[in-house]
Amino acid sequence: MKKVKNKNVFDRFLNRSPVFKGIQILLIPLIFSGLFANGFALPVPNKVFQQAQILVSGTVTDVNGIALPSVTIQEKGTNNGVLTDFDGNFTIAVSSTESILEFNYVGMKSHSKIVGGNTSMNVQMEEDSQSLDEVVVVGYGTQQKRHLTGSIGSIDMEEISRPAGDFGQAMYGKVSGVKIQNSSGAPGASSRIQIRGITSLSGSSAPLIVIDGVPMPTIDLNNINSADIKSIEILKDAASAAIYGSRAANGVVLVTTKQGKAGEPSVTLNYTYSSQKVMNDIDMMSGPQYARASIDAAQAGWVDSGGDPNAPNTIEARGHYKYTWPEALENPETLWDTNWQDLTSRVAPMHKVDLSIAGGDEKSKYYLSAGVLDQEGMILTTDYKRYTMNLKADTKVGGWLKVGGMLNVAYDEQSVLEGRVMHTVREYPPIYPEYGIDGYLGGPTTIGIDGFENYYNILLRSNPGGHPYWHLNRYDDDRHGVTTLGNVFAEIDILPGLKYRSSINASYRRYDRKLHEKIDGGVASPSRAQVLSSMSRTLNYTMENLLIYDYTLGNHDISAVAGYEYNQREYYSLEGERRDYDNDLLPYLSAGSTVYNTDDSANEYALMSVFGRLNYNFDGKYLISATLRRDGSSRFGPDNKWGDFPSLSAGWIVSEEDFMQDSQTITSLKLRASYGLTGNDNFSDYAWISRMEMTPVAIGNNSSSSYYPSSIENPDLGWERTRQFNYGVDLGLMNNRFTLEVDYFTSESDGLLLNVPVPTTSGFGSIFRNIGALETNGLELALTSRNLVGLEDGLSWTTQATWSTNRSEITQLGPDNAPLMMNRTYMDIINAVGEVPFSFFAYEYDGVYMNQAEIDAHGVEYNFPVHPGDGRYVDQNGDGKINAEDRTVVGNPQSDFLWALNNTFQYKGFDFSFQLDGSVGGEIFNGSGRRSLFNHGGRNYFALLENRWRSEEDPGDGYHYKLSVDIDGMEKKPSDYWLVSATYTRLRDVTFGYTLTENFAERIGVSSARIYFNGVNLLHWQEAETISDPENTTGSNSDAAVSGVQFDAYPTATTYSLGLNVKF
Amino acid sequence: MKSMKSMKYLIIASFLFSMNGCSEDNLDLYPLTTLSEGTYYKTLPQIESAVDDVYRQMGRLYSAYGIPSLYGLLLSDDGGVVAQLPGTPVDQPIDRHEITADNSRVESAWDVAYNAIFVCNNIISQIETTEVEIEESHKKRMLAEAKLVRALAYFNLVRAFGSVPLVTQKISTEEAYDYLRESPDKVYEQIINDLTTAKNDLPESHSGGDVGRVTKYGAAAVLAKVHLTIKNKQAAKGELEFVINSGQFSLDANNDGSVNINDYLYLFDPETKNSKSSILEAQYKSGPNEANSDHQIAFSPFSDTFVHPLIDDESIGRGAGINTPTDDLALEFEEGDPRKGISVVPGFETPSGSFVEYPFTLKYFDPNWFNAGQNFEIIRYADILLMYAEVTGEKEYLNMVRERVGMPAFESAGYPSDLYPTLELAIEHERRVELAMEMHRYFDLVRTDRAVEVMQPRILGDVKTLFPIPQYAIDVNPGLTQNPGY
Repeated sequence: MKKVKNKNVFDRFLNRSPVFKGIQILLIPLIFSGLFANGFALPVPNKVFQQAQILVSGTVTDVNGIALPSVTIQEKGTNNGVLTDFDGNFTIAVSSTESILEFNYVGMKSHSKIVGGNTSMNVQMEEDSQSLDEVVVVGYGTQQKRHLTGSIGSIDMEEISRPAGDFGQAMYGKVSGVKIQNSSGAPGASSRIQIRGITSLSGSSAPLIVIDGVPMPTIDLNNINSADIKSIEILKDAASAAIYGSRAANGVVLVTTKQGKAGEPSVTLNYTYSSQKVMNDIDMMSGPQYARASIDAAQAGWVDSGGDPNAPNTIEARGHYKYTWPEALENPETLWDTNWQDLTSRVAPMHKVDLSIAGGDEKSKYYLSAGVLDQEGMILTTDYKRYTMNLKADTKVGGWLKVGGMLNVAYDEQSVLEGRVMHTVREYPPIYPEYGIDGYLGGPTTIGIDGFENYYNILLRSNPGGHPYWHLNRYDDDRHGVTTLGNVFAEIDILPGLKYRSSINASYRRYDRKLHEKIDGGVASPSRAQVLSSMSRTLNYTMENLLIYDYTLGNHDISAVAGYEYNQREYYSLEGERRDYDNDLLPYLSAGSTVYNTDDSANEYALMSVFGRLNYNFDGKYLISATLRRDGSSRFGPDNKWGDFPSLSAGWIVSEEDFMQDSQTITSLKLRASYGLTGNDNFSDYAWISRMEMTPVAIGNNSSSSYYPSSIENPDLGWERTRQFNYGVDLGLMNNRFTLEVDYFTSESDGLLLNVPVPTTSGFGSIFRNIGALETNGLELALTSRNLVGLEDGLSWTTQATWSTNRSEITQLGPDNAPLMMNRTYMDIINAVGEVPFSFFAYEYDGVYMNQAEIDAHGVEYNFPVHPGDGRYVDQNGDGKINAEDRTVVGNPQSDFLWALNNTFQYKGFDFSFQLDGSVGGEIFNGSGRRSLFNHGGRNYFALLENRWRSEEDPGDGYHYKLSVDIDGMEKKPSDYWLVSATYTRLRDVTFGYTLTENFAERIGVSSARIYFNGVNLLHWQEAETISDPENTTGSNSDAAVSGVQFDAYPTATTYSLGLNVKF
Repeated sequence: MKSMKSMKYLIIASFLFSMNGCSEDNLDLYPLTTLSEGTYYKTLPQIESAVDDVYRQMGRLYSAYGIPSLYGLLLSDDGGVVAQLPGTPVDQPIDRHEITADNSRVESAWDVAYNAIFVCNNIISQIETTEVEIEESHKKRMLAEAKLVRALAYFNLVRAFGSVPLVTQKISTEEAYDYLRESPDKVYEQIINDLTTAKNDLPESHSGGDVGRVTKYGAAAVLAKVHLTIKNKQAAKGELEFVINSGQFSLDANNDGSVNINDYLYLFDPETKNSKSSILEAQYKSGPNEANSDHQIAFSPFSDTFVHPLIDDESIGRGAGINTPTDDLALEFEEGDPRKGISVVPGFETPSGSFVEYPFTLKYFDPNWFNAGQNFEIIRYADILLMYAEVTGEKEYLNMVRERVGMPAFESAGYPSDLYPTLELAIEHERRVELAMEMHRYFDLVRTDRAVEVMQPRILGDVKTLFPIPQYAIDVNPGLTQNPGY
């Protein structure tokens, strides 16, 4: 495809057509909306309506007497409306003295007034304190949004109506600089979240999750019902995150759960019914196409080995089965044309019900909820169920003590797909039926056609064990989990302004798995049955003591927090396996006759921390904040147990200055700058210790155990450190009709832990060390435009857009900057100085040799014979040979930029919103293509290979080389032939809802009710034809190395939902 | 509510006090399910258990993916690849002499050899510096066991790769960069030193639970082969005589007093280990959670319809399809040679009754398909006799081997003298059929300078007599040079 040569992100923007596409998609609606809004925002000439009888004019100001432009004034119950001009003046003609005028303005409480006898009307509008004093959750406390000095994204979960079981789905496109990837469409799967790119090459890249103030590094957020979540805050910059110290380098996600309010109990019921279908199937060859491709592969191998092209198709004539083919392939109409992707998927329903009750009085508050999620998977046999309960309560005692607590319990059940199903679904040859003779699975021996026996794994990699149903039905992989999460706290008012808070928090996760591999796989010969049963428990508890101090004197505002925290985690797992079962009737260990394996594993982790923060603001204009955390961790070597993580940030609210007070355009302007140091300790326990591994050894007829050192001790092992500067501007124009947040950051991570390869002559392949550094720079924009506000009986339209880019580059690796290679078998992934982390390092593919003349003209020597129709590769060093020296960086998984555009409309009781988003740039290694779908492996091929080179007369598209049974050339060596583009655009979300009028709601006995339709992933555009979804990844969500690697992913869903939301 | 007020401070005090419960010691956590090296090697049993690991290393060196299997067999005209494993082809390029430096099989064989050397070096240095009191002869024996295995690793490395880094002590990862390729002469010098020490310090034989451990004759046998390889026939002869004259070994493997084909079959019976014909054997054991061998699965057909003729379990699945016996090897056997049946089986019958032509060997047979454990004979008595025939030029020793399986003597009537007119060719032929599929063939062809002549007709490009130094090893340590032709 294309080689990534331009290192500069901005060069790349200009050089890529999809970029333009992306920009256009992003900009066009924005420009539109901007024009639209401006049209309304401009001073509107006073209009006199013909039917009007009374002219009313006046001025609208805020409480301080400052004129408000662009205030909407409307005669209630009519279409008659005007806007104030820049001086706050208006004139409106109304029909009678009975008319009511409604004044609406962003950030202000709406105001109504009867005209009466007045023809002149001066109105003062009050600030809507709710929006002004908007409070966001920060580390160990809360802060007014206007006083923030760091970069924090906030998501109000009330505004999200996507009914997904996975909370990550709710976060798409909401906060710039946060990349969410739907790593798999499997029910119960979690999204991958990455904040501001990569800060580590070997540790986890997952952010720290904090639930109601308690860090929960191992929690899967999906074990909390998204309906119980009130808001999610994302601490993006290091200064905001630094108070979480050694675990904060990947950013922090703060989750706040719902709590009760004083007043009448309020009962909420949510129900959604969804229907999911596969968003995108991969185009594979049909039966006849596959048959032809197989014959071509055999013939090409024969001809290239020097055979006579016209030799008869017999083993006698051609000497080897791989150069011949079963006769039946020549008449594909006698075979089948089965679409395995269709047969193994279904339209799958999902139900989600949540019920909650919240209430309380002045002293006590409570919130109680229960939820059920029942999701069937789109691929047969998969499903997921989750039951959650949540109780949160607090009460005040004696005026100085507040005690409370929370208990959240989740039980989940999941049927997981066996790992190879998706690849058999795409790769099993279409020439076989679902079932053959005797009811056995369709395959070479059961279709009643002779001549296939000698071709297994030679020409045709088709066998009963490769049949999709064999994998689907032979394995039952059931998982069960129970997660409890709870805390108890006490908060004591010691002195005015000084509070002490102490809490104990614990989570306990028990996870069981039973894997039953059955004897009966639907084929003639039985398989070996086995049952593997495992269970694990994780206990994680945190003790926290905080002193909180708030003090205001005149213009001086001080708030401070100091705390001490101790966290311990204990993990234990146990597994057993038995084999040799007589039948499939008892899928339990007890029924197996051979005890094959029993094993356990245990580890512990402890973290001790002290921390503090001081916020000071002067006159509500000058803001400064400093934090410090000191962490000690059991993960580190004795020489490096403790680390300090300071941060400092400052802000200036320019718009509060006198000289800005008169500005009509700029309503608010804040400049921010911050610096912080954070760490990453998220890798395995005991990594610094050299272990003595025990293994069985035989001597004669005896067996015993021998011991050998399996790793090298490293007492210096310490944190990975990330230093980040963040510069931000928050701008509000025309009374915050437009708001813009811009953040630029630059971060440097060093002391990166790397498994540094060392010469194996030392006895080890690698050593784990704090070596290496990388740099990340990024730019983030978030724009909100309230295009229409409160016009025409409440029509409003808001556009939100986010755009972000970040680029990481490795700046140091080890003492001598030698590049590190990983994953060598399939695609070389390189970490090299000056390159993006996890770049693809491979041969550069350069199309097909169309004929012998081209081979001769190229004049490059390969390690094996090359024939017309083979691929051509670039001799990077020009030495006339293609060998390992010619590998180069051919791509990387890093996006150029991410964007999202969200439009929300409201009219009377109706609401409508849609979100478009996408990612531009970056490559993905298509691992399933590598195995065979791009080249001969006897399996089915991508339909794309219909464009392959077949002969000099029929050379295809000049890009896809021929298929051949002899592939010991370059076909299976890593090259950019296997890379596909990661660029995509998606209509992520469409929601259309209707809220009953209050009257009607009352009449049916509810306080409010809304019904809605929601669609997720309704439309998608992507450059890559050979993967189902560029967002999918293979491997752990927290592993930075896998972001650009995809093997046989469970497909992503397009989901249609109908929902009902009722409050009593 | 006065009491409430004092309670307030009491509560605060008690919470603050509870913080003292957590001391910094809580951060000193060590693995719970494995031992740490820092606390190991403190008792004699611990040291012995670490020494025993050299036997596991010997098993790894001679596994189906070790150097002898890839170089001695797959590179030769005896072992081939009919159907490929999925993924990047790694076995077929070796078979076809089209290896590239990034071949992952070659790389892992290299790694295994150096890991074995590390384990030996480590235990040697632990024994030499330990404060645990060990009886001198016991100490010497343990050192000798480690040195013999180290010599085996180097002997395989030097033959397959030529010049190789020579590490003879425990080194740090930083020091490892300074260990560059040393000439074969220096490597052989080290091998001979180690083997000579081993020969001196090892016992003549073992009894009870120690049977299967290496003996001085094992060391001498390897030494003989080393001398033969570096063309020092005289020295080889001495070592071979040391083995033969010990009287401990004979072709009567089953020790029933008669020498016949049953003794040959006895060697490949999974139940019989360390027989009278065995000089040096890699030790494995069948069953789950044991030191299993991987040859049977690795060398069986890579075909999903594969049915093993001797294993009555239809669920066994396919083999990995490397070292499939070639037609050429099958034709090498003379008419009526009873050794052929176990060496090369032409194919198998599927459950539906059709015959699939896909040869494989039964020499690594074990009824426990999934957890096999037949020992592997690194050097057995027939090998000793054939080497002795080679160094002395005396055909009786060749004929002893033929006589055991009832084949006509060299130069007698019925011997195919037209095919093998000289004693050298007769020995080459005999080694090929007697030791078929036992990973000797290519070492023999290279040692006797016959590789190019024999292999060229089978190969499209150049015949390779050395593996490439793994590209990955060069990537990590650019000081390493590559062999010519890669």
